[in-house]
Amino acid sequence: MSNAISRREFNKRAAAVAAAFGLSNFDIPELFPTVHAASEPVKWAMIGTGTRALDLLRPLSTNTGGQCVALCDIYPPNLERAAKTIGGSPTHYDDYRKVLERKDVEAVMIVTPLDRHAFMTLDALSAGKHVFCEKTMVFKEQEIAALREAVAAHPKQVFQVGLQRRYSEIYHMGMQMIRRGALGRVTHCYAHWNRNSDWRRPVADAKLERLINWRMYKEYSGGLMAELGSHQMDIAGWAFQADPRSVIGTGGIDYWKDGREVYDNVSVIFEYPEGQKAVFTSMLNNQHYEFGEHLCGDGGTMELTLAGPSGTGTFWVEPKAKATAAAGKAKEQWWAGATVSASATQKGMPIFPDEIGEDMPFMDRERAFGRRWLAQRGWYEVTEPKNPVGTQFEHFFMCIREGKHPLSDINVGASDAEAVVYANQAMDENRRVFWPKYRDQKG
Amino acid sequence: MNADKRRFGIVLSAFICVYLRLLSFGLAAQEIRYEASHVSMGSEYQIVVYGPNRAVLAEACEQAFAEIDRLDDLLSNYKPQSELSRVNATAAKGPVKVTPEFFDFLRVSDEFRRQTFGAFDITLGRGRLSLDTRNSTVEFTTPEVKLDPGGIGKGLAVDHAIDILKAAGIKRALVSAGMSTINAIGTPPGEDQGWKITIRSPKSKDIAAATVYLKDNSLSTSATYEKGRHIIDPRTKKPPENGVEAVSSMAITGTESDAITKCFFVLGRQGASAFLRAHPSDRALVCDPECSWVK
Ligand SMILES: NC(=O)c1ccc[n+]([C@@H]2O[C@H](COP(=O)([O-])OP(=O)(O)OC[C@H]3O[C@@H](n4cnc5c(N)ncnc54)[C@H](O)[C@@H]3O)[C@@H](O)[C@H]2O)c1
Repeated sequence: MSNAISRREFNKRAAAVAAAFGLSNFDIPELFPTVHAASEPVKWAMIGTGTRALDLLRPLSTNTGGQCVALCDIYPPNLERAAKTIGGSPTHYDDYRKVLERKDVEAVMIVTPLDRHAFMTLDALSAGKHVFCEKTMVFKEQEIAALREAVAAHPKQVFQVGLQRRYSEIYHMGMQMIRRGALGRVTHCYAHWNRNSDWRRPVADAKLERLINWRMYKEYSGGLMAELGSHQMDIAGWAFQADPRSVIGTGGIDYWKDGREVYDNVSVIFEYPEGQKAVFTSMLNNQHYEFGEHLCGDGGTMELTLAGPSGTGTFWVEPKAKATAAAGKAKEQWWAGATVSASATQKGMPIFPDEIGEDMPFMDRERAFGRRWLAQRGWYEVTEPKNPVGTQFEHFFMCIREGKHPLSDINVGASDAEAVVYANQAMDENRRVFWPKYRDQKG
Repeated sequence: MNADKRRFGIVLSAFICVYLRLLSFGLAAQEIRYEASHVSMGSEYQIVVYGPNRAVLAEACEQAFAEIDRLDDLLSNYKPQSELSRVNATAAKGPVKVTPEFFDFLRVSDEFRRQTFGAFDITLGRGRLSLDTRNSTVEFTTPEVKLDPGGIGKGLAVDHAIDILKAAGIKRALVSAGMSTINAIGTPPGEDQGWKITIRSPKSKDIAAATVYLKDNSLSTSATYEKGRHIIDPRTKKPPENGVEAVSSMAITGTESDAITKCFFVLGRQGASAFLRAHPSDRALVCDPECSWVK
């Protein structure tokens, strides 16, 4: 666990950020494992070793908390590529059920096309495996219910969904700031995810079109909502701490008219119980505004994104008029001094997952202060110290070893999947779709 | 009968009096403190106002901020479409007709230059303004002239904001341009001395160099601690060599406190002392580097 940081150290960093914002006692959940040198690595297998798998296998190849014992894919070239990426000598399979039969496999990671997530997860849970399932968890209403039931029936097995923002320090800082009132009353989440590409992959043999370009077809795919929007609706739900009440939206195949079945652009608005709105837009013909989430409250704005090498978080204070009773007020107390340029506040304050400790070596401390100074002037961007894509597996293995509950659990995965399912329904059927518990009392 | 009526009348009016007293008492007790901020001219402007009606206070603050933005559009040397930029671009080639407001601004600036023997100069000593009152035109005497509003722009903005608040009937207010110019109307409720302002020391933003009370007057501060030695002596075109690290001046208007602060930075303690003898209502704290009030 060479590059893992201890929980103690992490909490110290959190405290440093808290101090920077005048807050106290940050309570960031356990993202990182306590290092047990003696504990056996978790024996795991990956099912579906395509494009995403490579992003997961790279950090997994240096994660000593686990050991890859099997890889499974029905498309041999992808299996080969994955084997090279992870190294070691995992057994190769083309039938995932054979993987599940192996007694020594403790955990499986399901990284297949979306339509396969549900049955593979159900089978893996029945086989007694811990499961990491890529997002979106599932894409049909009845699948959500089935998974909820299965996970509840196997309480000793860890079930974790691949929503990596839940393992990002910057996102945790942001959410803690929200809980502590930095944004005041949070009313809006603006999320966008744009690309400049047809979203297709080259296909050597026409027979493979539906396997390789599964994202284009409704049988396997939830389109942009599932592939991109799901990450961001997870953030909206995390910030608002609620599930939506309803969703409206519109989508179309308006630019890439190439026989695809899923929309090449979508615009949806989710409404939350206290009137908060989450807006998600996505297009495939312009990537100038690539992706990120803006959380807006009456006290401030926060931009969170994993875009760029490893993501950034920025915070702006909202100028806010305050009216209070003059009676019983504190005495007026003002300071005078040379003007502090407002450009720093206009540029926003970076969210620092960065520790400046008393016991730090002198040069490290100076460097940290230097970075902070540069960042406040907008000359330096504060980025995530660790890639959350890798961190999520440190967390996964820790949960398995220590019998802990994962952060992106079945509830997080299910809420997220509901947002995808109902948004697609709203667009497909051109109507406002209500979450089940609001269906009788709409209006 | 008549006497009864009269007595009733007296009792009634006594009741009404008491009732009105109570009513006005009740209203006074409901006085509201309203605080708002706004970014303009690269600074954060803050306004605090007191009054009985929240809507009136909010509207007055909005109007004051709008006025500050309007002045920024007029006087900014960063915005190419501002009147000041237009004059900078053309006034060396011949007389330029300007708005009465801008003409006034130039006249006041030039008056300060004369009063301070060139220690305050909106052209930073690069030439003269030839002002034609009848035609409301300005011409630069040399092509090097460029107007720099930095000396009094914020002071002027604060004064305009104060005027708007007064026009809205507000009797207690404070306007701060990013702490560097602060102007106040009246006093906060229950604080008869005025608005308590702590002037920071050049050594640290948490250390007080002095405390003053503002009451229908203004305080401006310039210092080297934020932007370095950014003030130029218009007479030598160099940063002054008088050891001054910070100056805070008090005057009736923000325009004047802003201008004399810049001027004392250049003149140093002795020059400031000479100027203040001729302007007994003004005061100045000079840190060179020890902070003390100019005698
Ligand atoms: N968390 C993220 O940021 C993120 C990013 C990209 C993709 N994903 C998710 O990862 C999943 C996979 O996406 P991808 O881009 O890697 O797709 P992909 O098409 O590149 O890879 C899927 C792989 O699954 C294999 N496969 C299909 N059916 C199989 C079966 N029955 N048994 C074994 N293997 C099978 C395919 O041959 C292919 O190699 C999707 O759910 C996607 O949403 C998540």
